[in-house]
Amino acid sequence: MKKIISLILALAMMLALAACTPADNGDNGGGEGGSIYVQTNAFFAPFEYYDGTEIVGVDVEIMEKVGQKLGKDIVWQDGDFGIIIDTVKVGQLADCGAAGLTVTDERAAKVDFSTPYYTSIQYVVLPAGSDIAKKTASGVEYIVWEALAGKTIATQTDTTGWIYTDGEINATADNDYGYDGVLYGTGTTHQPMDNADVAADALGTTVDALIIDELPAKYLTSNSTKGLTCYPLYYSGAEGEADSPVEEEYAICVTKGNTELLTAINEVLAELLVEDANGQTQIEKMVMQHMGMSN
Amino acid sequence: MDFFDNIVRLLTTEKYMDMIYQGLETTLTVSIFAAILGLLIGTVVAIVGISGNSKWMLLPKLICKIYVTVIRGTPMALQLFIMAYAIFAIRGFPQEITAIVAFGINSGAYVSESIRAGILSVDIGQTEAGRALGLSGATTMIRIVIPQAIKNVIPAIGNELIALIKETSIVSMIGMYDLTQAAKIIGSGTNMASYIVPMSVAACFYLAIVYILTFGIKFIEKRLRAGDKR
Repeated sequence: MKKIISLILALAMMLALAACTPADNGDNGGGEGGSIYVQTNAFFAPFEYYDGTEIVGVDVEIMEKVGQKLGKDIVWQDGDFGIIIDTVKVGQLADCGAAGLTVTDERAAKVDFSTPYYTSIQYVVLPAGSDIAKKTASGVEYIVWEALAGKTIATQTDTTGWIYTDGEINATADNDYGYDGVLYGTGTTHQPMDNADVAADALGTTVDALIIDELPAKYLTSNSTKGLTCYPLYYSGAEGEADSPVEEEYAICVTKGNTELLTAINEVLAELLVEDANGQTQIEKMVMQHMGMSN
Repeated sequence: MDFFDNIVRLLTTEKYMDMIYQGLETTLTVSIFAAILGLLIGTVVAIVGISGNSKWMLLPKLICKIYVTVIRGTPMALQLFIMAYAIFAIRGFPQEITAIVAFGINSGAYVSESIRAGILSVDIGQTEAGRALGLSGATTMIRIVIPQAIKNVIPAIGNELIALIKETSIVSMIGMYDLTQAAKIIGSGTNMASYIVPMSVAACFYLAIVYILTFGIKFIEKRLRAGDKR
C-alpha cells in the first residue's frame, strides 16, 4: 500500500515539474493593442528610478510616447542590468531595453540600437577630503586616469564605467584586449558593486573613487549628506594634445529584426531631439526635470 | 545621531513606509506559499526516499535522489535565475509564482532530508512491534512511526523555514518588489541616498517575522512534547 501511494506521489511530482515547460504566447509586439515589454534596471536616476512603487524617469517618458504612437501599453520589467542585452536579444521576455544603455560594438552585435539620444561623460565621484589630483583646463576641473593609479575604484557591474575601468586596469598589448591600459600594473584595484548607491556608501572607507556616468554622479553628489564631490574623467592627451573626456552615447536597444518598434522609437526620438529657441532639446528638459533642476 | 535621526525620518515618512509595507507583502506571500510547497514536495520526496527496494520504486527513488543532490548542490540565486529567465520566460507571467515555485522546489530538497532523518530516528523496534501486533505496514507508519517522527522533525523544519524567509531577499535580483528591494530603493540616490538606514529597518522587519515564527514553532513543539517524561 505504502509503495503504491509513494509511486503515485512521485508521479504527481514529476508531472508537476514537467508542466513547467516554457510556452510562448507569440506576442512579439506585432499587431494593434498588444503590449511592449521593456527590460530595465531601475536604479539609474534620472533615466529610470522608483518613485514609491512606480518606475519613472526619462526613458519611461520616451517609451510612453512610443507606446502612444503604436497604440500599445508599455510593460516595465525590472531586473539586473547585466541581463538586459541578453533578454532583449532572445526577445522572449522583452521587446526592447531602455536603461541608459551605451552603444558598444559587442552590444550592437546582439541587438539593434536606436539613434543615440544622450551623450554622457564618465565622472569620478570622490569622498570629502580625497587627495586625488585634479587638473584644470579652460575653466573645467577634471581628473585624468593616471591620477587614479594605486587607488581602489568602485563601479557598478556591467556599466560603461565598469567596462572602461576593467580595460584600463587589465589591458596590455599582449592579451585579448590588444591595447595598453593606462592603469595596467599600477596596483590599482577594481571593486565592482551591485549598484552605485552601495558604492557611494563605501566611498571614503573601503573605496577611494567611484566611476559612473555624468548624471547619476551629479545626482549622487547633490543628494549626499557626506560631502561627496564629482569631476569629469579625462584621457591624458598625447604630447602637445589636449586631454579629452571619456564620452559615451545612450540609446534604446530592440530585438534584432523588430523594425516596426525600432522605427517608432527613432521617430519619437527625432521629435524629442529638436532644439527649441533656447537650444534645449525636449530630452534635456526631461533630464533636468527628473533631477529636480527645472525652473 | 545622524543614524537615528534618519531612522525616525524613514519611519515617519508615509511614502517610505508604504514602500516597506508593499515589500513586506511580497516577502510574506513568497515565503508562506513557498514554505507550503516546500513541505509538500519534501514530504513526498522523503517518503519515496525511505520506501523499500522494490523494482517499482527504483526510478522514483533515483529521480528524488538526483533532485535533492542537484537542488542542494547549486546556488539558490542561479535556480531563481533559471526559473525566471528560462523556464518561466513567459511574457506577463506573475513573478510571484516564479519565485514561489523556485523557493518551494529549493526548500523541498532540504525539508525532505529533515523529514527522512526524523522518520529514521524512530527506533526500528517500534515498527517491528507494530508489525508483530498485526498492524499493516501503512498503519504502522501512520499510527506509530510518523507521530513520533514529527516531534523530532519540528525544530529542523523551523530552521529551514527561517532560512527560507531570509533567503527570499534575493528576489530583488529578478526585479521583484520585496522588503529588500524596497529598502534598496529607499536607500537609492532618489530618496535617502544612504543604504545603512533602510537596510537596518528592513532587517528589523525580517527579525520580527522570524521571531513570530520561532514563537509558533516553540508552541507547537511544547504541545507535542507534553506527554514526554524529560
